[in-house]
Amino acid sequence: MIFAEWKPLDELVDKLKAHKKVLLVGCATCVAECAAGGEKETETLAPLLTMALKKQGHTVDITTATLEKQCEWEFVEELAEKAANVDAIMSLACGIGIQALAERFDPMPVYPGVNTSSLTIREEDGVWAGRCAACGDCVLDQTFGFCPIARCAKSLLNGPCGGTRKDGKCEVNEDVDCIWNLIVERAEQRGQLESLAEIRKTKNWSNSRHGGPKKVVREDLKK
Amino acid sequence: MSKKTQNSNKNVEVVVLYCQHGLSDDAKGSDWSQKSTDVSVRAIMMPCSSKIEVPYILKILQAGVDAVEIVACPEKSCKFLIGSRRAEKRIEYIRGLLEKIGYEPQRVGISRKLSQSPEKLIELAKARADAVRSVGTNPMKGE
Amino acid sequence: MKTIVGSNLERTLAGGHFALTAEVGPPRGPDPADVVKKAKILHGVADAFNVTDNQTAVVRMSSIAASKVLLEEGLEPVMQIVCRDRNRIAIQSDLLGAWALGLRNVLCLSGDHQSAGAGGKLNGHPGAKNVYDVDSIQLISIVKGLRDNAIQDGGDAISPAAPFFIGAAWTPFGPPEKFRTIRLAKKINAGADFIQTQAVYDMKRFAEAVRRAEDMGLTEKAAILPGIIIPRSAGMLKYMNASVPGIEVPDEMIQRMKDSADPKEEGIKITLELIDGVKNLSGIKGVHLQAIEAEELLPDVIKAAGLLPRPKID
Repeated sequence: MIFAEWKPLDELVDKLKAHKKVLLVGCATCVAECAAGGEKETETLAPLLTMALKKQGHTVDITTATLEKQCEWEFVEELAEKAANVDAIMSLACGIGIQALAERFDPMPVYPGVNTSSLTIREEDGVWAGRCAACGDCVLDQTFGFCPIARCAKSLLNGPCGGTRKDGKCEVNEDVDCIWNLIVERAEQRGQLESLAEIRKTKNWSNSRHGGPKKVVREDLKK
Repeated sequence: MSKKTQNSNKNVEVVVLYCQHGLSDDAKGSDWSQKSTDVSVRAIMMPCSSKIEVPYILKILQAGVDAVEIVACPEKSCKFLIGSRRAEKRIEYIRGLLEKIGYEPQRVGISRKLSQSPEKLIELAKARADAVRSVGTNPMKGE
Repeated sequence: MKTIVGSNLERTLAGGHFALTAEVGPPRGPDPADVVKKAKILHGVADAFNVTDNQTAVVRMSSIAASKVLLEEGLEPVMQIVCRDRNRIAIQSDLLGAWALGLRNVLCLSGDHQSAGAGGKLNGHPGAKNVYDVDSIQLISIVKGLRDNAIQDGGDAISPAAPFFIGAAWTPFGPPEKFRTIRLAKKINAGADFIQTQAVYDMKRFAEAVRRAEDMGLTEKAAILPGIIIPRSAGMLKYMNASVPGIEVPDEMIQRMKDSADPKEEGIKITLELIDGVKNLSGIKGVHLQAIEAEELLPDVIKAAGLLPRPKID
């Protein structure tokens, strides 16, 4: 899922205090999965922000809505009526959803309520971990199903740096596995350690953000 | 008069959310809401403390109530096994949120008790009221 | 004696001499006098001097500039390059520039992650955007391409070629230990001519690691220079053992420093024993000596180790 987290509450309060009526919009997909912008979180944040603003002397009327998908125009359209009655929107969706609202409801100010940071899996209840960096040139077959781009702090392609801790964790974060340690372990289990001896050449990053903004056109799907 | 004494004379509003399984048999179905000169208690029965969601509690505070007390079953007695533990974690989470927006975390609390009579629930509510009396009324209380 | 670059370090090794490199950390300010001061202390005591590239991700005078200052003072630098801060365009551009300035040895490293800079007393720049466009092994290949094929990574030709004597690092004890020798082989196959290792304190384990490298024929293909950091206290050894990945310090050594009435002197004794130990290992061609933030210790230690004067190579 696309992972996002609430921005610091004082930052959100600061953004809303100039407004009278605000629509707080959640999204029931990724940000609901990562417990940042689903219906529950939207309904949590609304009273919290109202109380915080009130404490600072600002009376702001915050109404809420949670869309099925903030990144699809047909769902965004459902907001039209509510959006007509407010002077600002705050979105708890990922950056895609936030931009969809900003585009549809221009010139209404649309504030991001979350920071979107990564593509994660829910490892267990309450624990998320990065899995994909959308690098545009997948190497997972060469690395035994572990992504060294997203899961190595240095995105190394030819094996671990000297920073692997004694317990196999990464020097950058003691709670995170050195992914190359796991890659080597699995290669060994499969009797294919030799495959990692091959030198991986410099990577072509141009199919990711590094190549410029993405735009894909499929004629077979266009109307 | 100091602020503290001013507040101590004021009426403190407390909502008690209690688990239906934690009640004494004779207490079921009674009406507990009680008003005295210094505390108003409203008690609401829940099917299990685990059903108490974060937004629900925050909306009670948003409405201007001074404090919320959750009465859950002891961990081992919870009918849904981990229900009361979940409730406790949520309360901790809410307390953290309140602190971040400058509200006193003691506006929300949880007790783990079994066989509650109406009187005992009122006592718990009063104890929660005492915990918030010194910090003043909820800023959300209507003008 | 066949050499391709002609640097002093390359010729020392090619001549069969036990090579000695030392480390010079550039200052956190812009004053070349800080580098000159260290150069004056270290003049003539080693065959080449590593100049670190913003080590621990703390901003310092650039490795390329500090290397040039050393060169002007008559010391031969080993310019370190890390992959953290520059992409393949900037790295190759800097390599050409370094060659133009007369720098001939490079050490190719991944580099400490930028979060390391906030670990100590300094702020560092933990909010920095890192690059890691290429990794250290790819970097070695790039340098080799500029040298042997006069070609950039993208395929464009350069003229003339830019011959560098290419170095790489080896951390023999880090997990996954079994892979560390394979990784060493990858670096040597990519083009590394010399290898400087993470600091060695556990001689027995190091000897085993070198044996594995020797069995793979690696000690013939590249010159391995074990790293030795002069210990100055039991606390320092304990810290390195616990917190610096890849460094293993035997308990007896920590205890020995603890029991010593003069730990500084004891640390020098340990250093001399370690130098002696690696000298006697088959497959070892020299030593890389570091005295972190205490470069003034180096001349006496090197002298006491019987490594002075350094061989004069014509």
